[in-house]
Amino acid sequence: MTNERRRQVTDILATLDGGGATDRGRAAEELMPVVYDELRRLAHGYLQRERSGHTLESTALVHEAYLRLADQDRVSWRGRTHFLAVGAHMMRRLLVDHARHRGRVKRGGDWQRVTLDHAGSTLLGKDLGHDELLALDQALNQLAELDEREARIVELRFFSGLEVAEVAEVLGVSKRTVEGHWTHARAWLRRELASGARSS
Amino acid sequence: MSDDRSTFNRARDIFLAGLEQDPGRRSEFLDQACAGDEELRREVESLLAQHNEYLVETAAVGKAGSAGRPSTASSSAEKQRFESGQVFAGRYRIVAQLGRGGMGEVYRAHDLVLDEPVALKFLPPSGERYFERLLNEVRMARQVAHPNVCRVYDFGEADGETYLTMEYIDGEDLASLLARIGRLPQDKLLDLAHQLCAGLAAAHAKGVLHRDLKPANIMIDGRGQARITDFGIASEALAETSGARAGLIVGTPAYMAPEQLSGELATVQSDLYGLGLVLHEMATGQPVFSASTPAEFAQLHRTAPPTPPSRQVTHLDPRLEAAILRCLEKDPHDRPASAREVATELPGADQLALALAAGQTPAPEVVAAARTDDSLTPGTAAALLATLLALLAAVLAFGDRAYPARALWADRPPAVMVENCTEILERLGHDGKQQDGDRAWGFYPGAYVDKSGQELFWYRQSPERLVPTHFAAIFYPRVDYDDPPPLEDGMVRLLLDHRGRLLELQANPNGEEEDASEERAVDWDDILDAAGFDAASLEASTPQIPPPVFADQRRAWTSPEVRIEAAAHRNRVVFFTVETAALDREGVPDWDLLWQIYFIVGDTLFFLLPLGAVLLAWINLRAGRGDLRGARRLALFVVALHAASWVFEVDHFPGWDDLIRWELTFGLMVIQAIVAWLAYVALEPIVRRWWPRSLISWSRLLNGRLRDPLVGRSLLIGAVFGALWALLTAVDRLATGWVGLEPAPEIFILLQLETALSGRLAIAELFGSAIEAVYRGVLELFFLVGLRVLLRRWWLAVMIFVAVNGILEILEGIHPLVSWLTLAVGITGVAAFVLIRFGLLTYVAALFCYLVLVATPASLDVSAWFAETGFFLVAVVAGLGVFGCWTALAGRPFATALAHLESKSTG
Repeated sequence: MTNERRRQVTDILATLDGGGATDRGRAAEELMPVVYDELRRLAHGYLQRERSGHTLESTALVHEAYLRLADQDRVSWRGRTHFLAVGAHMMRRLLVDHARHRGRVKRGGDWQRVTLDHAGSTLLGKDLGHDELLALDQALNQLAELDEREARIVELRFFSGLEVAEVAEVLGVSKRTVEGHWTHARAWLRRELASGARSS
Repeated sequence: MSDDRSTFNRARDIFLAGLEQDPGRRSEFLDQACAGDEELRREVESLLAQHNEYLVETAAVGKAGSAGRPSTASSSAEKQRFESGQVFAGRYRIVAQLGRGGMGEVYRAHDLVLDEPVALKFLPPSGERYFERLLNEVRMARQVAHPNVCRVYDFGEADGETYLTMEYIDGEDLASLLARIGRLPQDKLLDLAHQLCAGLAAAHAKGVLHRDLKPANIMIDGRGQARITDFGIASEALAETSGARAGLIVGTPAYMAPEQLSGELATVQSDLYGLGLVLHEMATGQPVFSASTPAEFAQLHRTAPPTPPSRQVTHLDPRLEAAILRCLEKDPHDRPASAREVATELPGADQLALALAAGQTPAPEVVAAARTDDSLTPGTAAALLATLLALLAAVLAFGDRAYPARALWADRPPAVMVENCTEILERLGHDGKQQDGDRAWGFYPGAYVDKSGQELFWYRQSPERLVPTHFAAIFYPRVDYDDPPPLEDGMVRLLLDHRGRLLELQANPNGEEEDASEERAVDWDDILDAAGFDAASLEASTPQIPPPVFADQRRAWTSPEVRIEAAAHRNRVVFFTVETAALDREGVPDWDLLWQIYFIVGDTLFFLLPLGAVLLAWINLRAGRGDLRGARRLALFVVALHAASWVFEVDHFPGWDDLIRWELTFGLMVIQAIVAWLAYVALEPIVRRWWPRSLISWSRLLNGRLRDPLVGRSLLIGAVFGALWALLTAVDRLATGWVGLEPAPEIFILLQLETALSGRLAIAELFGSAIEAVYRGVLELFFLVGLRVLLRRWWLAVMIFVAVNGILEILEGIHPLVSWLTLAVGITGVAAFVLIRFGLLTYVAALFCYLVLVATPASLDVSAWFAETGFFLVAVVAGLGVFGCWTALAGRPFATALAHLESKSTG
């Protein structure tokens, strides 16, 4: 089972790396459920093991999922980047789903706090709790309405810990552009979250 | 939606461009970029603020290595990079690691080239711009040489490392000392506090800011000497590690000033805030604010009032607490102006004595804040005031006796004299009651006429406006007997003595009345009568003096005493003069040669001194020694006095000419201000270096502390000595008679009647005296201290000072023998005493009062027309004394002083 999934994922990543636009789109869609599923299992197992803290490190999880799902010998670095890009989106969805259901799903192994990478944790001065994560998700949606690319950059940086160069690669823009968007998004989100926190 | 997006995108562009601007220019940039779009501007500003907050927080992470930080920060996980014994850069042998902070690792090393221990600090890996900024900071920091500042030796890159070598201090940093022993005992605290102030002041004087002052950056060696480390460098290094852009906030949030946290440029006051935090922590053993996140720190620094240290510890000196809390003011403007000011507010040793003992030039603030134990008791103050009033009464009483000639004028007010002139003119057939045109009158120093030796009265009239034309009139327009020159048609001028007798007459022909010549012949007896002569007692003679106006008849008479010449045109007298025989100058020594030397030396100095002053001022400015604030205030004060004196003293003529005069005069005042400023910057540091005590009350007054008791004391004592000198001047004149010597004629003595001509001239006299007092006082102090520096001995300097000033005084004296006693000893000797014992301000006040009093036609004869002016000026001096007395007693009601006196006499 595991091996079969590994082959499947590795094939998809190869398509993402080399195929045409249509193929890439389909490949990404195929990849998503697999990644989501893996992330959920990982998160659950991780929290079972590490009972103390109940703090989830999103980046670590996405990277672990990659290690488990892709055959590193066959996947190029570009393929890895694409995986992490998809992983970032799935991770976000996973965290949001959990946060929404936290009232109903009262079982051991749920996370209480999450550490986001790359200054994500200092966005509000600390690791994020459920409400803050939901607020972040909402703010990111608002940002996406104004500038989808900028929101995507944040997602990639926060949830998968992609470096600026990697983000530039995924989105096909210059590093400078990514840096500018990143700096701006950071300030913008901080403000949105701060004002949201005040008004609620 | 598209609207939102376009605003969003524009805000982003401006935000990113704004980050590239210097914080100081950012607001200006935003004005320009947002072009009045308030919504856009608010958006950008909120983004910038958020960015700033973010930097504050990450700066802390970089420094403190907070626990929540994931292990991705690679450097903190690294272990010691260099082992003991390893040689770095072919020059430094590593001895041991001293510590590792946010800035990098520090090793104790041995410099193999210079064979001495150094502290070797490795800085975070550098980018090119960062390297340049760091280099710049190091270059500045290297200029600071002070025992309380850690010396920076070298800076460079080698083996891929950016490193810095500094003085190795065998000691402990304040942070670990406090952690070890808790709070510091107060005397130790004060000792360190003074050292920190001195170190900060030295660095600030070189324009170097620390920007990250905190206990960890203060090293204390085995002998208790404190040294501030990492001046300006810590912040640059931190800026690099936290990825902040140049000029943005960097530092340790627990020790950052509110304005730094808001991204404004750090100032001297930001360092003082840090100093306040450090002092507070030394006093209490606890940081002022504790918080777990940088954002909370930022919030506390901005809004939370610091807990007064006395709430946490007992027996804290209130002055120390006040100084700490002043440093911790949220608004930088409310904090002390300089580290030196903090030091002066701290209790502890007399800063002035300390600076002098250390062979340093004390700073102006230190001088102004010096402790003095010469405050006046109410009894002494009252006694001084009583002495002053008695002296002033004596000046009034002696005025009449010392200047007997003045009494001659007592019942001849200017109006009567003018009437006299009109009468004479009418008698001689001129239009004395001229309705149109202009008239002017005043007093003329008789010595210049060289006839009677006494003051004379002049009168002029002209059909046109009398406007002075002498070149000096550009700056100082005053109509007088000779200016404008009597060249215009219809101008008439007369000179009368105190009895109203005619001494001189000149009447220019009035063009229009050419044909209306008198029928009757000239009555020569009439004009001789006006001059107080009887024609019968005179002998006719041949005219010798060519009349200054066209005349068709000339006459001359002689007697053993006088020679009289007259001329008439068309039967009207147009010229008349009485020449007395040469004045008997016997008994008046011929000082001409001395005066010539005096003027030659004076003129040479006049050209050489400014050159020297510019040079000295330049040297002092380069060395940061000049008292710029004091110099600026002195310059402004001098200009204000000049302006006031000028406005009151000169004649004003409406029109373009007067406008040009105003402009020229103010130009001249600006030059005078520059000269005063230059002289002060050039010479004041020398005085401050050698004899700062003479400047204490003076600096306080220059700092605007008019109500300072010491200032009051100086004014009161100054007024007493001023009155004493004025009295001695009068006594000098009387004493010649007392010792049986023939008093010399009152040639050089003006009766000061001019001052009494009008109220505005009396007021102008006050301003003029003030200017002269300031100039003379400051220059004589410079002279005395200059002598001291050249001769290296105080007693020799004082002797020469008294000798030179004494000779100058005798030159103005009435009789060399007596004047030697009264003036040289009485005035100059006392002057030196006042200057040395009481300082500059007392001396200037004394000079002012003296100058005002000798310019006063002082008289007890209330019926004399000039008595009012005399009383007014004497009252001003008395008022100065009363003000001084009141201020010296710190505003305590005078009744208290009197009660004190009474209790003394009864008890």
